[in-house]
Amino acid sequence: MRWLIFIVLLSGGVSCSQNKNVKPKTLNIPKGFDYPKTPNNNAITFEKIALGKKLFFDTRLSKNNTISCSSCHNPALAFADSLTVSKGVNGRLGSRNAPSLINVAYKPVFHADGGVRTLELQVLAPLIDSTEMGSDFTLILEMLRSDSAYLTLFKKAFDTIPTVFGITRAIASYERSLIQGNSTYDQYKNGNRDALNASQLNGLKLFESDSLNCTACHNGTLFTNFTYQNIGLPILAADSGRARITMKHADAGKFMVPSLRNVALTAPYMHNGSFTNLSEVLRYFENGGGNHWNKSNLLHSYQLTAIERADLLHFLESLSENPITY
Amino acid sequence: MVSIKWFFSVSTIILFGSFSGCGGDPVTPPIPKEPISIVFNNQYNGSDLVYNTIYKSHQLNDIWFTKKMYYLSNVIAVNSEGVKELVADIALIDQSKGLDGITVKGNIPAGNYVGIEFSLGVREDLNKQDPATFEASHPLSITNNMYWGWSTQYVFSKLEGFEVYGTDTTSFVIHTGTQDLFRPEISIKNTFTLPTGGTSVSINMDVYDILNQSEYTFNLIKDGQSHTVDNLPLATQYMDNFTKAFNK
Repeated sequence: MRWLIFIVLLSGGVSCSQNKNVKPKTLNIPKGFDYPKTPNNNAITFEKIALGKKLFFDTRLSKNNTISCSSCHNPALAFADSLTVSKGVNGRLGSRNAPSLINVAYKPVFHADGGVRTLELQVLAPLIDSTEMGSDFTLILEMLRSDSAYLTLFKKAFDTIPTVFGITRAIASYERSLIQGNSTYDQYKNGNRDALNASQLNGLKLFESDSLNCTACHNGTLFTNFTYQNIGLPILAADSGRARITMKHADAGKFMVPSLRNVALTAPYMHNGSFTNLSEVLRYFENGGGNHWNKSNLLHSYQLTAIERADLLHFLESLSENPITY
Repeated sequence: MVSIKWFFSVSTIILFGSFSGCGGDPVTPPIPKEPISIVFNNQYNGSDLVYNTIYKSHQLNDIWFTKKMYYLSNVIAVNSEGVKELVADIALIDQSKGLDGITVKGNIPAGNYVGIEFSLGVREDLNKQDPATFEASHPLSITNNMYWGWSTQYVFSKLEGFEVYGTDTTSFVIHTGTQDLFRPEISIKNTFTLPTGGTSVSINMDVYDILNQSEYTFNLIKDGQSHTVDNLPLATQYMDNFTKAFNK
């Protein structure tokens, strides 16, 4: 009887436990950054990151084995791409410019319209979207479960065979590990007063000025307040931005304010990639944005000299840093 | 040794106590439940709907279907005293998976029943779930391809196929979802007895009736595309018609 009780008590304790052999991973957080929040069911481990990285670069996750996550999120381009809108399987075009994944761990919601609640759920979207990887999970699981390397990695990370749960948690963990915060600007902010040159310093001053009002939206550690703003770009028929999610007319043409970190590496710009370089973007804002009935009243026109434009551009370039190589 | 025996005796009492409840009320024996299967037959104009078989549309064009899938929430049997018994909280009707794919199974008390109730779509608390957390056999599994990754919610209903107009063959795709299009508490009169050992009852759902109601008749040549947010009026009309397409 006593053994029965022991077994009952022990089994109750073990059944709820996670894989005990994994090594928790503490992320390297740049000075001035908070430690990112992680969901209760997805603590970061070395094993998940290793598995997530392999999945991230594997084209076999797409319908025709041609597209991986890294096809649109290229490490050399701050995990964005250089296309107006991304190309999916069979050359199908999506409707939006690929965002950088650097510091994605800090985003409260995902996609330019904020339609995705968690990084784990975000993993699902490109895998099943017909204009992106166009696959389905029955096929993906079949492939992963017939691959001995994946069987080993899933066993190590989750103590299971490949599952959809594991795929989403592993890729999210890898993406959450992509943190950067040591740009020239950061070095200046952290005490190296010589890090920014005179032009960049003047650009910073302009950026923070009330007359330009850039920091009304591009503020904080990531240079975004994560609000949805309409900057006057024409609404494309199929993409009404935030309104696509809320179905509210008042949200028409609103998109989430993007981070400016690594902005010099992530051309073209805007949700639809309609500006090819940063000079065009600066001119657009200098003119007070476009004409749209729902344009934010935070935008207004101002006049810069050629030198000031160059200074502003040089400051923005100081927010970029060397590509992550892991 | 005596103290160890005492420990195990107390543990045993505590353990059994935890299983038998906390109060001193007399234990009511659970009501035995019997298996019930509710088969949702997809039809077209009164005949069984067979994919890739040519029918006539309301406009008398050749039409055929390649997909008709939909979610039901809160599938309930109502007994002769008006008591509602939950058969299943969520079910996916998918005829591509044979009889299992169109059968909602559950266990409810034996007795006389007078109706079936259900809601069309995925109820809000389930619509917020992470589909990656469900096993492949669960109706809410991502492997059913009934999930919108871009807005993290389930597709309530899919209708796909082709219609011929003149010399053109046009595809139609109507995918409906979003919580505003959830259609609650549809009641179907259906008198049956659930004996010991279980029973099976059938409900017919006719796509012909979805496409033709007094409020609106679909012409899929021009009304054939909606992923809900890109054509909300059409998706709304589709779901409104859908509620009237059962057991006509």
